[in-house]
Amino acid sequence: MLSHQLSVPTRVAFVSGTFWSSGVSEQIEETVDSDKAPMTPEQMERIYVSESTRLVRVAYLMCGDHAEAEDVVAEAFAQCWRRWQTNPPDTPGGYLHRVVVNTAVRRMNRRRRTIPVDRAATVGAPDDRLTLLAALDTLAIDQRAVIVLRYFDDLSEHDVAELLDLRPGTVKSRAARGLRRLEASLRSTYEVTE
Amino acid sequence: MTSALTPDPELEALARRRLCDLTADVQPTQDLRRRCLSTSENRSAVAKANHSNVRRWLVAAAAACVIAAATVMFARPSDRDAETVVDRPVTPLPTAAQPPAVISNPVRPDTTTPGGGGKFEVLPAPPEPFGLLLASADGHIVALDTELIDPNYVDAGVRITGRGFIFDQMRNEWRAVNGGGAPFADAMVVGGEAEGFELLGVARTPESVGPQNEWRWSVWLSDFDGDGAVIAKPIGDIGSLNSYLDPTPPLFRAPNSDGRLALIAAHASTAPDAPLIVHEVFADGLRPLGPIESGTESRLRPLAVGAGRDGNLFLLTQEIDDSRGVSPVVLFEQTDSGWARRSQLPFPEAFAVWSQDRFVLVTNQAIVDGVSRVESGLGLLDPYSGAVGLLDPYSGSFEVVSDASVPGCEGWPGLAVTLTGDVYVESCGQFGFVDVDAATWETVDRRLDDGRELEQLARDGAGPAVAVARRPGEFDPNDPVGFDPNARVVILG
Repeated sequence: MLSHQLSVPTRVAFVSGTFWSSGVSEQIEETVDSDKAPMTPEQMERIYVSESTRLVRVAYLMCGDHAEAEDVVAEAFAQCWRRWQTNPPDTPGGYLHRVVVNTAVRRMNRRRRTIPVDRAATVGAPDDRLTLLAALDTLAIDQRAVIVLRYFDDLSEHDVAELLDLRPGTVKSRAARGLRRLEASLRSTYEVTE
Repeated sequence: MTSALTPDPELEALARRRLCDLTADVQPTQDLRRRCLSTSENRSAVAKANHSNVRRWLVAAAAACVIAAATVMFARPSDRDAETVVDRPVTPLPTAAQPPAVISNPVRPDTTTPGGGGKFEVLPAPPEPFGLLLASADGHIVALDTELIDPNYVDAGVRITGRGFIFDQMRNEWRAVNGGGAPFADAMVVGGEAEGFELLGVARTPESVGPQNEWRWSVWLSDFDGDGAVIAKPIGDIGSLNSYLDPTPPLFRAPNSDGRLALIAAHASTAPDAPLIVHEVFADGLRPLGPIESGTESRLRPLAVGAGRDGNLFLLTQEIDDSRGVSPVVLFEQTDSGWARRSQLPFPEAFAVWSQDRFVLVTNQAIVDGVSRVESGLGLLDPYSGAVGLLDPYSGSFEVVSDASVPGCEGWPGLAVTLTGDVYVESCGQFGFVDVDAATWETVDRRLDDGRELEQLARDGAGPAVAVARRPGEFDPNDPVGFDPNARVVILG
């Protein structure tokens, strides 16, 4: 059991290089790792309290839709709950984060197969939010994941590479290309509407 | 100076700022909290609390309850009026009582890995033969005893006695339990804990109430009393049904945040144009959710029910139009003003399960030129393919995720969707596994190492995927009771 109340994490806790063993996740990890007992609902709730905001935001940036982001997070929790009954991980926060990212990538891959995303077409005036979401939509899924993890989650190239099962060099090049593509997309949107 | 492979620091800083700004007001909703934690706390702490409430209620009313239940059990239920359903706020039915650990058993030596579709986990043999295998949405696996209603008249049907076994995953063994001894014709497990399990079932009266083949149906719930004994109590009538059109009133599960647990859809009467009525089931009564009118020459046959994220209900039906010979699948949504017709799908029938905010359907037929007939379905399928699709009730869109065929299968009597979204389909002894995300289909080798073969999926469809395995030739499929001392229970996936 957790011995003390957990606080909502700040992004500082997940600054590059310390993601897998820092902040709230570390507190949870210590407890879970100590006895390897099945996760209790109370532990699950604490993990939810500490991680949900960040996870929903990551999923939102990956999917571009709040409802779908919540679907992703709910699906991730369901998967983790099942797995953690017999095999709780050493790093629940990191594990959950990985499941959310992978679930979002899977969903986006499927969505692109079935529903063409044309968010930009619905954008009239250059509303910053829609414009940026439309620009994110222009990225390949893997590229988008790198951008979100690297620049929203502040993960290091090494951590992003580990999470997405890539080489750090690939993360670096995808980030560079993704940023340039975002810039070009945003620039063209504003030029068109001016 | 940055190379093509090195991110521009200015762009990096800009991206950090813009992405943070973009999500500044993105917050998880209360609904997400419920959805995430219902997989854990609702199945243990909350359920336990609910159960405690029910127990307190039962203790307080123990004497009256037992007497009333016994009185009604042995009285002529036909005296009750089909329309006298409870229509008032009632206590929600208790939800599940244990964490869903049953579905996550540790791998044991007798686990086998056949080709395709993931692994099987063969459970120890139940101490006695069983006639019906049920799996609840919260992970309980129950093997129930059944008996012929009239041993001299096989067509009279099978009755679920309520005696049976529940699998204790902690001890890796079956425990004998009692589900209340109700005269169920069909049932679902709605919860369970140490003393036994709760069954929600439908029962027909022992006598006809109208012309031949018309029966009056009642809903029963087995529940614990304060001393741990199990009783069955009738909680309401759902009307008289024509046994040809409605052989058994379908039981659906649609849990939501309001505590609603199960629903039963049935026609108000045996009249051809009788409306369909969905009854919400509570521990002490039924509440009708308003009629769904069908046309003068059509009839609605319920297929599945689901609870949307706003607590509204979705109902999937087959609309049988005798005059035109068309029977499309139609989606209805519960609204403030009643049930609204939302969309119509281009196939005449489907097996459907509500899972993760959507319907998972299996169908193998299509409507062509407005006539219900087996044809190249959905533009993608041959007549003997099984299309597995996802129906998004919010947009009404249907997405085919698998259209591979299983040789020799013309019907789809079994569909199970696990808590993690894995889909299993069973037909004519064939088993298939659909990876919804990858849109792939695998035929599961149903032969186990010990010579047994998977025969049928357990009833329910929205919990763990559980199947019965038997040795070929040792079971008489014409035996209506279905006892087989060699049968084993297998968890798929």
